[in-house]
Amino acid sequence: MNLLSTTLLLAGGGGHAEHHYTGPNPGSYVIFATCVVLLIGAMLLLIRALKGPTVFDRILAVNAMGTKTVVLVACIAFLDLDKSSPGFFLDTSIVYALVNFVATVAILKYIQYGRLS
Amino acid sequence: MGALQIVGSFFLLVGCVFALTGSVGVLRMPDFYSRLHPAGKSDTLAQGLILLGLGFFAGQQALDLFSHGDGAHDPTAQLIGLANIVLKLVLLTLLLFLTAPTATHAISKAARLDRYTNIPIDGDEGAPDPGSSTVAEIVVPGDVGPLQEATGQIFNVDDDAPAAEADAESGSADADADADAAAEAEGSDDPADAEDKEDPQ
Repeated sequence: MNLLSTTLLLAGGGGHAEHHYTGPNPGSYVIFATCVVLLIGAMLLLIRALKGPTVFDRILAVNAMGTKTVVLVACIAFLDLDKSSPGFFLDTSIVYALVNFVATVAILKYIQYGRLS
Repeated sequence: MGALQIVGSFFLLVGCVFALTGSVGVLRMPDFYSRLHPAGKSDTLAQGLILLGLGFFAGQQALDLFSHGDGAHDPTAQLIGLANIVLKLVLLTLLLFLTAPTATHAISKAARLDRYTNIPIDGDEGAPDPGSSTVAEIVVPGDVGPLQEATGQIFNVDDDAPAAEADAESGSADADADADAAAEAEGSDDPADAEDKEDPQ
């Protein structure tokens, strides 16, 4: 219902809609579309991770999925910018980026050398 | 929907295009070394564009605060919060720009140096396999050889301990000798390969 009314307001040129509630920020729909596209991309990468012929294909796909997840969490932080603070989501995102990189290098080292020391 | 928000939406949509292109490239490219290309470049550019767009959204929020801020809240505190958000976005962008290509490089190098995995290459049958050059023969320090079966008796469960221990010692000595012989064979192979490589030049 909210989406419909906001879309109508946008389409009709909201000249008269300045002082009453106009639903979520219209930029939120762009961010939501970005989230959906990132999820579709992660699903395509998951297919490659499942059917990759070598182990390096799987590592590559999982690493790219982790990068996509970092950006997805940052996008979710901005979904409701008017009411919530995205700082905590961005903290989570930074930590996920670090863990993603370290995990990729650790898995590569384990596969190549057979040990982590 | 302010001007900065429109600019941010543009960057978000372009980033979406790059992200989807990179994912389709990783899924559809014919062999492993080709798949490294979309994963290494397209995704890095996509995340840069998307985070830049989100930064524009935060900037629009700050502009709204200046233009018609509500008197109920202190605008300075909200402005500091938005600056915090932008700082975290910049940090995240720098972090991803550093780590994502590094991780891709590490994956490609590991696949290159891995001598027990034959990366399948699509292409002409007679063409030389780009994954089969002598770079894969480089001995990496700390690399482990193929798993060697223990020849001797490892655990001693017999009652007559001295004889069993002697057996175990001789067995381990045999294993050491085998390992030495393998190392010598490998060491003797490598100079020959180097000579073969240097001959045409």
